[in-house]
Amino acid sequence: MKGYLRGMFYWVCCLEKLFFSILGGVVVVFAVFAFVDKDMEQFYRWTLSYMPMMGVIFFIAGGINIANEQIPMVMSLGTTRKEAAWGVIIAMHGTALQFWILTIVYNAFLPPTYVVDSYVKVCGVLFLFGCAGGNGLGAVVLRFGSKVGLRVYLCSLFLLVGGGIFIVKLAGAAAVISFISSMGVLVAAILFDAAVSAVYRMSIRNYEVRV
Amino acid sequence: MNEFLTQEKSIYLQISEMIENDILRDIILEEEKVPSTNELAKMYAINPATAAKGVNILVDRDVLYKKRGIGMFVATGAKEKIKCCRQEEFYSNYIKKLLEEAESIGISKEEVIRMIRENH
Amino acid sequence: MKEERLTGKGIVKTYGKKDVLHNVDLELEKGKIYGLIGRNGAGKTTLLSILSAQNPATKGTVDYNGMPVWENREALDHICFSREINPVNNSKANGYRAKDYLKAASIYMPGWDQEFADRLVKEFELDVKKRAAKMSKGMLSMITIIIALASKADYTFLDEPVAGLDVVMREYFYRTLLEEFTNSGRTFVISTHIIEEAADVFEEVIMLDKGNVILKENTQELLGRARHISGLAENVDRASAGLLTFHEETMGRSKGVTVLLKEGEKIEGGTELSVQPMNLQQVFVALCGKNEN
Repeated sequence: MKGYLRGMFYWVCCLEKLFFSILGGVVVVFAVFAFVDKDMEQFYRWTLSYMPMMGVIFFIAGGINIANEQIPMVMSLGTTRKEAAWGVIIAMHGTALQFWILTIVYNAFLPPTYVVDSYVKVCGVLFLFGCAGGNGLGAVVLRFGSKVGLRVYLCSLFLLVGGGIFIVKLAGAAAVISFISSMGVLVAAILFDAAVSAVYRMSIRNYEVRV
Repeated sequence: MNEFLTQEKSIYLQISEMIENDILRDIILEEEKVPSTNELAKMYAINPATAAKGVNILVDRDVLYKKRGIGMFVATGAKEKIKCCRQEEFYSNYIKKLLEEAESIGISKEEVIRMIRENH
Repeated sequence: MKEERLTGKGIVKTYGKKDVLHNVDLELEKGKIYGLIGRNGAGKTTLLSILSAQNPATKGTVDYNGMPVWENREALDHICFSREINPVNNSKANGYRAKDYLKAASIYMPGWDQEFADRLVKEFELDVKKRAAKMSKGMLSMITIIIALASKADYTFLDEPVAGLDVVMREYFYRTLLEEFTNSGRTFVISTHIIEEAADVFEEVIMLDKGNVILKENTQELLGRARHISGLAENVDRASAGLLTFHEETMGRSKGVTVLLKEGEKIEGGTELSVQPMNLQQVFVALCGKNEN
């Protein structure tokens, strides 16, 4: 038990550092808009669309980064593969939750004109997919190495961003939002996430620490 | 005690020899404490087990004895014992080689004896 | 009272079609400093990796006090393999700093001695704020050394710890290692290329050649039975007949050969032969070096 807690503490530290640096960035931009530009409209539009996207990218990049750099490091410090895997899975989900809470708080303070329907729901689903995607890429790296992982990452990033923009342009933002916030998609996200977590645990089974 | 270690002989033998030399030279007197194996290991940057091996040789020869809880001490009469031991080994350590070398370059035993008599 | 041991039995490691370790049996006792010496590619890092469960063996077992080390938190808490830090993975400018490594080590190693680590950082004059990608090889070695020593693990492995350190720092390392060993009685396994410097520190030496352990012996005893015989070729052959010989070198009529004497064996000869003692490095080269024959 101690091992798990010990290990998770480290992951959490790393993810939290990143989280707060992003938050800090947002606060700075907010300050600029609020006090310098005095034009909050831009800020709200910007954060509404970019924050969920940034969140998803954070998880995907974070997942691959953890597998590339941090797992080898903590494994060379004597942790077991089981502890490492669960530490990562829990920490990533914890951070996803954190992002989601931030979204809820943000949504609560948003001036009514800017509130988008189901914004919180959509963000939640996106973060869950992002978390699963990040861990999925991490699993690829752990099992097949970082070169393969990088290729998969670039391909999926391209597909994700490109595909996302294409779909939104095609179907319109409102349709996309209502689709994502549907129950079916939420269930799919949860199942996908569970499956990826299991795969992650499996892919680290025979992991070799190599210089 | 401040000699360097050489490659010529096993390290633990050198350790025991150095302690014996110090005893002969009155650097350590009888009934005085000898550096501990850990101190010796630190001094010469060697493994403590090796230092212990060297010290144990001297314990076996009754040159040193152990006072439990305090350390290793030079036994009374150690100086004489060391001289005696080295006198016995003098032939095989020095004379034998000298005679072999002399023979290999064609100097007879009598000539060697003459050299010793004349140059001493 | 069970004796503390780290035991490897029948360790085989295969990459693709190639066997990197062949049936290695190894027993590491408590409270000894072992030297693991071998050429590049002999399998030293792989062996240490497998012994510390950082790498799965293709075949064979590794046990600590009778329990397998693989994925075993209890056993791994007593083992530390401080491996070479390779900053290539940390290529971005926001790579890890020295203090990040030390912080991670302090979290993951149950016996971590922060005071000791701080003292070593000061003695090594390490700039903990420097990023790994910008560190010299020597600095990276210092971090691995500090992590290994401050881990206070019962079995601590170091892989080429002195790479990149200048001679003064190397000597400082050996002294610090001996001091820590004397104070704590931990087991250390040090793999190194720079054999002669470290030879006095090793109580036992393990020689690895092409994936096989060809020798595991008390260093002083090994040196006690290793001799180099040289002289006229026929005299050398006569004197070494029936003895275990290695690494013959001939030049004109002279010949030189290394022998390892077994219990009770002697070298018969007088001044027509030179019989010289050897240092560990010379023995290693004789046993594992390139042979012209």
